[in-house]
Amino acid sequence: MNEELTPEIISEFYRTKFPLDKFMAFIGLSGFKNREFGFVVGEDRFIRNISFENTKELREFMATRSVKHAYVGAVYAQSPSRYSPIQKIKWKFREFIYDIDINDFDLVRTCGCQGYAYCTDCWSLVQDTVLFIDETMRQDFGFTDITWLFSGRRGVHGWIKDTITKNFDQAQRVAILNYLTMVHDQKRTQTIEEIPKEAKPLRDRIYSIIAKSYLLNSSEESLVEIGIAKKKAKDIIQRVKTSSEFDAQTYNLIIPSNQTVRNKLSQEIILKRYPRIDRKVTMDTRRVSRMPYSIHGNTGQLAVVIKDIKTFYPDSAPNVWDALK
Amino acid sequence: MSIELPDWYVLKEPGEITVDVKNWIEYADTRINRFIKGDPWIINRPTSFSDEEWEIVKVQEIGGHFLLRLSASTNQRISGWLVEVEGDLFEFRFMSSINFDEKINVLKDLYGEENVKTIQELNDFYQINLYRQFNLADVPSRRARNYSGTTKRDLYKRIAIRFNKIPSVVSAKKALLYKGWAVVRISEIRLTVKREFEKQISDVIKKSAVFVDEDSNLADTIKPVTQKITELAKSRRMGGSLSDFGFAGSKEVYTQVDCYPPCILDLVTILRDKGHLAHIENWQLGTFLKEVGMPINEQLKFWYQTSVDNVGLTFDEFVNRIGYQIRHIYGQTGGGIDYRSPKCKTCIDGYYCYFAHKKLEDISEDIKIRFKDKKEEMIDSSIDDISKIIVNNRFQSACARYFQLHTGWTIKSGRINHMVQYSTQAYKRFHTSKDKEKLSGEKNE
Repeated sequence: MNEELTPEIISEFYRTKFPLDKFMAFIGLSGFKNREFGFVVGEDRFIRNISFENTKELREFMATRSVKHAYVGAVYAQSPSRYSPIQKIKWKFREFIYDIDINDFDLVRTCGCQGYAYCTDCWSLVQDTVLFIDETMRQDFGFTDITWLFSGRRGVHGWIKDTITKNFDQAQRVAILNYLTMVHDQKRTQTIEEIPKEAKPLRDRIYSIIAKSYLLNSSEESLVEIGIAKKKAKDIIQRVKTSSEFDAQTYNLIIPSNQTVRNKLSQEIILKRYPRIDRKVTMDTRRVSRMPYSIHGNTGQLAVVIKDIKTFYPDSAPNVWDALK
Repeated sequence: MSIELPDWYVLKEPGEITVDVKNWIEYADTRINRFIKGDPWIINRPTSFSDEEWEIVKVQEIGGHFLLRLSASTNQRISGWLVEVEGDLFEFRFMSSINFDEKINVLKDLYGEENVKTIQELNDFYQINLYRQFNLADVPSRRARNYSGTTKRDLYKRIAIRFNKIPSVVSAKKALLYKGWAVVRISEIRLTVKREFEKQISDVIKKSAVFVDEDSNLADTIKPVTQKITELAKSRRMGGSLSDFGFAGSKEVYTQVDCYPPCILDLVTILRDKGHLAHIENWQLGTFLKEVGMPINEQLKFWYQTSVDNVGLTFDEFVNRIGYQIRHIYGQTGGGIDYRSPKCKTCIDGYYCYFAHKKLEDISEDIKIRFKDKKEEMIDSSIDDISKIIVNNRFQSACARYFQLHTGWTIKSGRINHMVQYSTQAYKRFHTSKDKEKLSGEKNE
């Protein structure tokens, strides 16, 4: 953080710089009055069940209350309020959202970073995750309206806003999550699911996006430990480095045909680099998520849209002080 | 565009049908008897049949079903039974049909035409060749071959359904997903299609109630049918037989809590901790306790002592006011049906399955605590095995592996099919020396 994030700075940002039009274009005008908002105000007090008549009220609230964190939730049949809390009113729709946090990879980060800390090495896990999920959502599920946002500290949020997703019930959301999940109980036993036989696009994606990063980050010794001959291991790493387009076919060609070795390698690839998702965020249709373009109250960074995840690094994300200059 | 649906498909619009009341009751009676025999039947038009002859068969089939539907619309218990037996019959007919187009048309009717495509239609729409692109081959899978014993029924062939219509198949990664379409073998959607059929037939049964309400003659017509089904239910012929699961009824097992399966142990723990369970969990636990031999009075005492419903009530008051559901389970109130406890498959889908619904990390902790007297390596390898089986959605196999850790015995089929099966086998292992010898072939300590 460059300097202290004071209530005055927050207030000025929301009054003068917060791109309300962009935010409204992002969430859509439909059902604005009945959409739930949540905020962290004052001495870290979290309040939710809040809704606004119009965008002017929203801006005014965020500016006058100097909200440290701002969140947006689902749309209901009536306006959420203290007297009509979301548990008592009918749910209407919610975007389909992914939450990727670097600390979900703590058990497999080899760079030494833990918790909120990150470096270019471990940030590549988040980058691969986004690439993998984005391609899966587009190719396998046919979604087209996908936006990735920086969370403001250590992760990214993926918003899928295709109309069909808004009305997904929990079973449908969980089905997509389960389709994507290969590492179960990811903070403890890290049980790996077998590579699917029928879900070929998913399997091929593991052997391209994830395997490529794994092999690029591998040493000859680590491949030898899996059971690959030293000369072959050297050759594999060389081939990955020089391949302009690495896909499942290339993977199948360069990896030895020995089934035991292949199984062991694919298990390692999945364990070390496969996407890890905060399932609760995606499943829970009543959860609130960080408001796009808002300030992260702990870092002062802004939850901006990520144009290209391959080149995005958290330190380069804009912050409130830059915005006010 | 209207699609041509087969005559065996009871959700098909019947068109104009004329039938006199006497015959109508007879057709319904025949259908009930066939259901009770548990022998599914197919209706296919023989080439030698004239239109008139075939029309008679169709009227018998559709007329019989419609009268049962009307009867079920007035009685929730009969409705539940009808949905189940019609679901089984539908599944059998759908899977047995040798006409692939017929299967596609039924799927289009169930899920909506816009949500089902043939692979050719998908290829044409996206201008691709899915088979070439993903190196697919329509080779019969072992499962498809086993179902029918032949490859005639096209169970290995693939079709495309919008992914959100079959979430359980997507969840288990049993489909190839392409642009929102789940490309899946017919053999993999058997259960999910059956469930969709059951949902829809349940809806149409509910909607049929209006016809009975508006027509007093109709209400009189269905009375004998309703009566027959209720009588049969009382005589326990419709509750499914325990022999279906390969084990006999089990008296006294209820006294041995160490033989209870983990799902039931969990329900008992939750009930003791919180004082209440969800309605369906009450039902699961109540029917289980009945089936492992707990007499009704014992069970009433059990609920009185453990549930919060007892607050401020004497035992007698509790029995009168709250004990309704327990008496219902034993067939002493309501329609007098002698209810069975749900199979594992049913628990996985709608009741409580320890392996399907509990978090992996909690299962791991439970195992360490429950089997703390066993060797650490044995526990670790069991947890490892069980975790791998669970993540591949083979919950009944996970239960069998748990059973192996618990008893040292291996279940031959490799999976537990019923919670009572778990208990009776465990009871034999720990409490019946004679049976222990008899079943020595299943040992694997």
